[in-house]
Amino acid sequence: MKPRIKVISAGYGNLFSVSKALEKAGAVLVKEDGDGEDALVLPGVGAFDTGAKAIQGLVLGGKPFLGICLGMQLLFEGSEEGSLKGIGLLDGKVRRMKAEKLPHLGWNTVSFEDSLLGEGLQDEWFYFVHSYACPKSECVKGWTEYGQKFPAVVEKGNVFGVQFHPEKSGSAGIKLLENFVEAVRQWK
Amino acid sequence: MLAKRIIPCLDVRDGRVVKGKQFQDLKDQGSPSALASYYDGQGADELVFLDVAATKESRSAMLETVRQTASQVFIPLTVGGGIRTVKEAETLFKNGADKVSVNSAAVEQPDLVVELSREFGSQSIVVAIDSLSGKVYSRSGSKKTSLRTVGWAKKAQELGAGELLLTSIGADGMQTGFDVGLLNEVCGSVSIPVIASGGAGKMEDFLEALKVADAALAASTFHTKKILIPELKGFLKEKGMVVRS
Repeated sequence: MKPRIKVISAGYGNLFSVSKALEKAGAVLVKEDGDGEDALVLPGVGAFDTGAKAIQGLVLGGKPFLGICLGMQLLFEGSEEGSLKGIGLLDGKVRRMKAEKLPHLGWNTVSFEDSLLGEGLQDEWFYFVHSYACPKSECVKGWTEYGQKFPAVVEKGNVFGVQFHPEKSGSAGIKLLENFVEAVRQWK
Repeated sequence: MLAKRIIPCLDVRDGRVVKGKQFQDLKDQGSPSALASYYDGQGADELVFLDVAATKESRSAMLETVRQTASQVFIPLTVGGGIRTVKEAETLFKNGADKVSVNSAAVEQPDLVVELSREFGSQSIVVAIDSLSGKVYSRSGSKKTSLRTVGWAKKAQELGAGELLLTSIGADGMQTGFDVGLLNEVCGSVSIPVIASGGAGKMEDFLEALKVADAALAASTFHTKKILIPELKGFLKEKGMVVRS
């Protein structure tokens, strides 16, 4: 059976593309007010506090969870960008990047390190749009260079996060989502 | 390292591609989503759909086009042409667009750029500027405005544009190279990414433009297959440029 995934909105993510990309990667979508999902995906673009407000009261349970872009940043304790708290599943604070030009917008490569999501995707190109970056820690499983080396992928147990947009990263992005869907399948 | 982007532009009217009749290998030559899939397969880094009619009918056909394309093509999609309100932009975003491009409406009501970037984030707002002899033209290049190109570029960034799509009217359609002088001037005065447009004719033109700009856009050069994207990227890479391959 195909894994059932619910996409939750936090701020202005491209929910349409995320949903279509997950379907292409082999998932069945559960409506936002529906239930019985095997995993949650949290896409999001925009300000940290807007996203933090949108997900207040969200119960993750122990289900696999994928945060995309702002959705990844919301996994941490907080951000320089806002004053509200993040979900706090991962330690540390999101900080503004140090680079000549921000946002970091466009295609960049990811060096994966022992990453479940990145299997078969070493040094592939992914599409980024962000100005803030997550803190370094042991759960970082992929790195990207832009003015500085910053975490592009985090994985910790059932929690996954990617700073780039797999739904906008062509075939590499779809493959990464397939890896996530496969992880969900094995989780069941 | 961040890659320089290659962006094909599709002119669309009433849900059909206006140019690009050379695509005999596509089942439906006039279908924007079929052409979008083709370019995705070729390695295009992004796509721009421009509604050249921008009538009520053409706009609603564009929505369907965007939905269809975003259901099967997973690279960034910018939509422009006649967008004048936050509501119109919102409808496009909900149907799968990643960015909207505004041109005349931004010139005539600059507050629109402020509202759009506040509502959707500046990363999804492109201000398109048509320039001739240092001046901004609106209404598809038919109306000369009092704005100076460099001044307007700076102003657009201040208002909240996340990117600029800079077209040189003089170079557009000539295939004699991008207006590198104009690109230098504008890129030197803003800190947001600039997409070069107008004048692409040969691979060297892209190289020269991308030494200055962050991305290069072309229509007929790609539609007529005068330049194929995989070959162009190979050429740029050989010349030391970072491109997605």
